[in-house]
Amino acid sequence: MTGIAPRWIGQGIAQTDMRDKLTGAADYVGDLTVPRMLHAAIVRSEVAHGIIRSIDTSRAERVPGVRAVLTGADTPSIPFGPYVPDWRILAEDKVRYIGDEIAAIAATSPEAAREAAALIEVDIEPLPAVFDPFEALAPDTPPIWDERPDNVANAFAIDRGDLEAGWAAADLVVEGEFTTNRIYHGYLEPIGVLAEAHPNGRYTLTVPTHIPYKARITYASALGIPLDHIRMVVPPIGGSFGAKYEMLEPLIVACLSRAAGAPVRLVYDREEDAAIARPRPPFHFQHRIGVTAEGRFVARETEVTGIAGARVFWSPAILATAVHRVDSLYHFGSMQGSGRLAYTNEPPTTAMRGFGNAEALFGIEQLIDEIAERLDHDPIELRRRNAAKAGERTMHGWLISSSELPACLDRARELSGYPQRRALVEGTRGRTGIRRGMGMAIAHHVSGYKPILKDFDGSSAIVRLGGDGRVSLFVGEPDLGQGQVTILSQIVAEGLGCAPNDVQVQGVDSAMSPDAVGTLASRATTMAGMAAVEATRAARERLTAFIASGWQVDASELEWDGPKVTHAVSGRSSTLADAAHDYQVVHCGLPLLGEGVHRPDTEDLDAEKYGNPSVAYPFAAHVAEVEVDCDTGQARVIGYWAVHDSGTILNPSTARSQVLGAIAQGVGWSLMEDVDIVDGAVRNPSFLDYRIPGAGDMPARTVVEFVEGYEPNGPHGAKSLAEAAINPTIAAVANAIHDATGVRPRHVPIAPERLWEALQEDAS
Amino acid sequence: MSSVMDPTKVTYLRPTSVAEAVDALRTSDGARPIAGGTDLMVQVRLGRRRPDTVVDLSAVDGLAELSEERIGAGVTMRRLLASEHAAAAWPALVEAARLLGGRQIQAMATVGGNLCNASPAAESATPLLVHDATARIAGPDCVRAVPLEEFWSGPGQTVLGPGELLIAVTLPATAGRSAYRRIELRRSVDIAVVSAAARLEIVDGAVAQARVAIGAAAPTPRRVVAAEQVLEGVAVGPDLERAINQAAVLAGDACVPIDDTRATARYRTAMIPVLVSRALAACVP
Repeated sequence: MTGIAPRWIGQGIAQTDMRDKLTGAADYVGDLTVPRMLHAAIVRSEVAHGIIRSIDTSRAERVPGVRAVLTGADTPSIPFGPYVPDWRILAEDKVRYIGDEIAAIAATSPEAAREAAALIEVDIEPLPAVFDPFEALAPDTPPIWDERPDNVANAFAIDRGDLEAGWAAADLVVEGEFTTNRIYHGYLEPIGVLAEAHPNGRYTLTVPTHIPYKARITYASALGIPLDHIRMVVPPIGGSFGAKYEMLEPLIVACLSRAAGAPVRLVYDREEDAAIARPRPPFHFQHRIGVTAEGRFVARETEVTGIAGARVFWSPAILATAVHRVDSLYHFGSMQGSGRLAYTNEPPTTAMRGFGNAEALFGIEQLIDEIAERLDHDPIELRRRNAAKAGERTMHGWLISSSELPACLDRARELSGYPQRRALVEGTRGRTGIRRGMGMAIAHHVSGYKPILKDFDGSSAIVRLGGDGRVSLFVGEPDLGQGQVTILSQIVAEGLGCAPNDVQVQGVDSAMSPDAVGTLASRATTMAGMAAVEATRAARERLTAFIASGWQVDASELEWDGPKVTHAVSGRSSTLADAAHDYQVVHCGLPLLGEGVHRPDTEDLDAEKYGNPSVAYPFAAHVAEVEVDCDTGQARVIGYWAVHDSGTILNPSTARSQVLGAIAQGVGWSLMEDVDIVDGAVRNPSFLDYRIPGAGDMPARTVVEFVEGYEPNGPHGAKSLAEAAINPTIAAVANAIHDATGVRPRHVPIAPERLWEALQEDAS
Repeated sequence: MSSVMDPTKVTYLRPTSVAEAVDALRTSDGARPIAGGTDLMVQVRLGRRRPDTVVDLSAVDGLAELSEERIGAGVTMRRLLASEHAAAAWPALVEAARLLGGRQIQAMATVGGNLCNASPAAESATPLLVHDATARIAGPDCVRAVPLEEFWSGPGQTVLGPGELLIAVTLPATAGRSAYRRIELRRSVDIAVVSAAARLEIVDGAVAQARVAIGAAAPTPRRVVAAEQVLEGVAVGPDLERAINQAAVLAGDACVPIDDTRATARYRTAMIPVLVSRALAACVP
């Protein structure tokens, strides 16, 4: 392709699946019905911690339409879980949080299932419950799991370099405590699953998970059956942001289907989804940074305490990220970090967009602003000076194959006027009346993190060119609404010469898709994209060789122009569709297949956690402008500038949407979003009181720009974007609020009451 | 989670006159009127109300009447927003209607529904209080009038008896400006954390009549008469600025709010003076 202008790469085409989604033609789990299908309801604990004395299901069983009633005694008793074997399909002896699954019903209607669920009587002897992570980790607190008497769900520690020398070289040390909170993902489509237990002992699970093969490993171990006894089918996913990794619900519904002998579907309503939400884990950070008078970082310490909840979902990966990922954004010279996750009697926490990284940056980027202020350095230049640069290896071994961060910083300065423009409003900093301020933050992220599932590193893809001319792509990475179907269509279209709308990117089905880790850790565009490039090239080569052989010419003399192929010497020509048809006829019905394998050039981490786990790293520089009403504590973001390096931008339209979505989530997180849990109960399980921002909360002035570099390890030079885009947001808003008021936000959300309290304290 | 009302077991009635509506409401103790349904349907879905009879008021003659001294219970927020008379005569009410829900909600939600749902945070309540509104209630025997400040008996509770129906609020011709202010946690579609409405009638450079009302600060929306008294008779200028500050403090003293997921009582109490002084300041020409 070198030297030829791309046809589809870099084109801002509309998402290829948009029409189906907008017209309601896309079939989400809630749209699926199959013959004899039953409906599920779950009975949950209303007690945060307790011993189950008895469960009486007799009244529920008599409700007309009820086909199955299950308790922990009826489900396989095999401890399992993605990180820690602390999952049960249904609670056995104890309940450990409000919402813990105790029993389940399958009935002929959702109403009958719910009516029966309400009739199940559970007798629970309450135990003391713990909701504070520090209390949970204190020496004499009773354990939530007997296997972990210290209530430590997970711990992570890392150190690098000569920390003592680092502190000795420091002329200034800044430190501070910061906390981040639980965030509900707020996807449009609540969690749902359709399960069918087949008479031969196998299962078909239709689950909107974005890591279906990883989830299948978990599910097979829970049910005590071989992997191949579960077929995973991924329908369209109505958003996830990390919530729909490995969910428990498919197992409950699978057991109901087995017991009832019929397919069973479960779809939560918003209140149930939000009440048992497995939100972003809350963290407490103690950060410390040492810097020389010239502004060079020389030492860093961090101690992180987080909440796993009553069982461990994906919080360990988030903890590790929160402790040490920032060391590959900046060179800190030396570092020591440790983290612990506490078991508490609360709903489990799990992954969400930018996990761990955004949380750590909330404090780090504020401390860096404090350094700039105290040393009287330009905050942009201080960041530029200490940031990891292209070609460098960071202290943990991460290899920065490309970075346009310096150019992003320049553009952020030019576009926003920060920090010079700040001088214009400097006189307005204060704690009364209306105040304005600007703040910046930078961020990076991974682009396909390696050490997740050793069985399937990298990615693979199959391009199928049917005799009818239809092009299909099979990958193991589901689209969760973020638009990768469109990106992959563009990649295949670019390589084959057809149009993106001619390419059907198939939903993941373990019966026919390649196995893969899935869509997480910002890997789909990079990994599946590289595999798609390879598979497309293989398909094109195979087809070209087939044509050359049929025409008895040299393949090198064939020239493709879009979907048309011409033999330069004889002038003979054909089309992609005709050639594909001939290929299938000659091959007795076999369609033309192109296979692509992408084995990334990453390095496994060694025992000291040193290595290069991602093929590439995207970067971002964000500036926020806020207006604060000091009398009420209400802050709003009035301007936002986001400049990104994600290498080649494959689709400027969807890329821009990703950044706008991240800004919206960042505005929500920084100013209003918070899962309000008191004594283990979620007090705001609805969109009335769990506030996500609306159009009126978005800054009137929002500028998104891309500095396009070329990432050698990504498809057509691209690397990831969506997670990097949320990472700087809450820190940028916090820095802007500090600029406006002098108050240093220590917690998110910086909601009106909290900011008002801080303004009162600082004023007195 | 919650059990859902089975629609096949609910009686649906659609009267066309007030008399028929009152009769319909008396058919069962579990009868509920429905206008826009923006509160009732949510409560039904969450299992908080299980009416066995729903009386649809949309066809009741005269209920959606809007005139210079009368707002029918069936008048929607959108109607208020489109009314030139409302904008000129009751600016606080129109501002509240603009803040109530989103556009779809404004198209359905009615003044009567907002008042009868009896939320302490009801948007239209404090503006109507500062405009001296009177509730017109039709019952089995007669129509009675209740000053709006006596209409609520607690959170979610009104003085409406069995078979009684709020048919309108009437408002005397009032002079002067009114204004509505609230604290919200989100700028796009939210309910008030606390709210305040005020009205000042200024004659010959002095306050002839003052009204102050606060919302979500007590079990019911309420007027703060003590605050009104320090304003009346005060000349526009520095004296009025001082009086507004005094009134704001007195309004804060009148707060007996709750702690909930939206805010603490402490914050609510602290915000009432801010809102009252801002609303009053907006009433000074």
